[in-house]
Amino acid sequence: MKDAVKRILEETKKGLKPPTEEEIARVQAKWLFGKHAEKMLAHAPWSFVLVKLLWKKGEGPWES
Amino acid sequence: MKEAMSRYERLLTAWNLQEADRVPVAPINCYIIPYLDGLSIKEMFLEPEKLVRATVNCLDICGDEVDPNITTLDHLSLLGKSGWDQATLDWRIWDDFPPKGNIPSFYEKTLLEDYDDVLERGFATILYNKKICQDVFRRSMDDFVYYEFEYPRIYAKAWRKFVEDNDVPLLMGGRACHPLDLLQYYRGINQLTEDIFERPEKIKAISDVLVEYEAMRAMKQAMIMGAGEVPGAEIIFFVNGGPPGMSPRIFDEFFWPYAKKSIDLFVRRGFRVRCHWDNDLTPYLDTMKHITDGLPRGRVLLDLEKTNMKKAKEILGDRVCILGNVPSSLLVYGTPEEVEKCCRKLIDDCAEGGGFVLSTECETPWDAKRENVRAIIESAEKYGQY
Repeated sequence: MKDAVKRILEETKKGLKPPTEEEIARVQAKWLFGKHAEKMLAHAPWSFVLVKLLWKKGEGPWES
Repeated sequence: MKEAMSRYERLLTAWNLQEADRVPVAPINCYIIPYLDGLSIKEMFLEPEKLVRATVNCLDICGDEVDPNITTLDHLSLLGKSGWDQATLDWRIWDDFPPKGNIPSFYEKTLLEDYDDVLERGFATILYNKKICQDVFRRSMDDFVYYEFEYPRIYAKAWRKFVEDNDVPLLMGGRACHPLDLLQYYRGINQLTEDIFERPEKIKAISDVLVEYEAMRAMKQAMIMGAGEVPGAEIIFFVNGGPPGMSPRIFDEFFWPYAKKSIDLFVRRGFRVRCHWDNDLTPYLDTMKHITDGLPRGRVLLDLEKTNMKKAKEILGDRVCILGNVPSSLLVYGTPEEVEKCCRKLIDDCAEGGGFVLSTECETPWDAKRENVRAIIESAEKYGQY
């Protein structure tokens, strides 16, 4: 790899501010659970149970 | 003549609106490479070593960068991903190329039925719903976990080695989709068009959620691909495929604010953004003049499909690097001489002063003639010297 390319990569790396795990978890929770996201995150891993309570009639996999 | 540059320097010089040693050239080769090298779709998706080997065998048609085909990872995703996942959308994935199979195909239907419900209870309400392709339900839980969490790292490792061995940068490290494009997938084009007039506030509310979600997932993916260590992995491929034919008012109200918000978000976090925007965007070039407002130079590139490149150069040329756009039909049905003529005109219209990359429309069709793709590369070398 040329020195010029190495320099560009070093500068790029220095300037990167990638999302933290917390940020990713927050937006994924918002995408997954809408307005219930904070509740689901706050009570993980119990959110595995809470999510079933969000299902409406006819949505359960056994109700095909 | 200027000293020969590395491919990555040549591309970034164009991003920086300066003249390199010659016009960079980079056809967007996705399915054509595995097809030419005799791979099946299944091998392309699941065996990165084979895909990388196929790319090495097709370096003569790659030019200054290669597409690492991150779309395959999107198709295997556990959650929604850039409009290409099978978890929320009806994408059909075949094992083989035509005539035995096909390249991945999207079956449009109304999957998001109620905006209010999705805003209230999230996309969990449509995740693995009964309207998507049944194939997805045949995958095991272990399979999903492997392809979401472990496989992207194996995939990235294969491409990192490719870049080290061949000194060819990646076209992208992560991929995100514009929310209006996503809503076209989730609602269908007819329904979305009606929504724009009947439910404008719902579209805006859900677009806000999607901008942030897509951005975070894409940046995470770029880091896995080696952003800051692997040339090109710091580039976010920001896709918009539709809807086509928006009036300038609709573009300004529903497309532009979310496009600019996404671009700003990526650049402020240190990534480069390649706006891969399909359709003919010529009517919106005046709005698009503001694409780099408030941003440092060299961080944004506009990859245009059907837009008039001469006009784009006139209006945007002092602000943002443009890339395009040899027609797909010419690559499948034309001759190398016709491709060369088209490339020469693009270079004449757009190359002066830098800020131009010679490329294809949306992508090189999988059944394009190899000699036609080769003609794009040769035209840059023949007519693109600065």
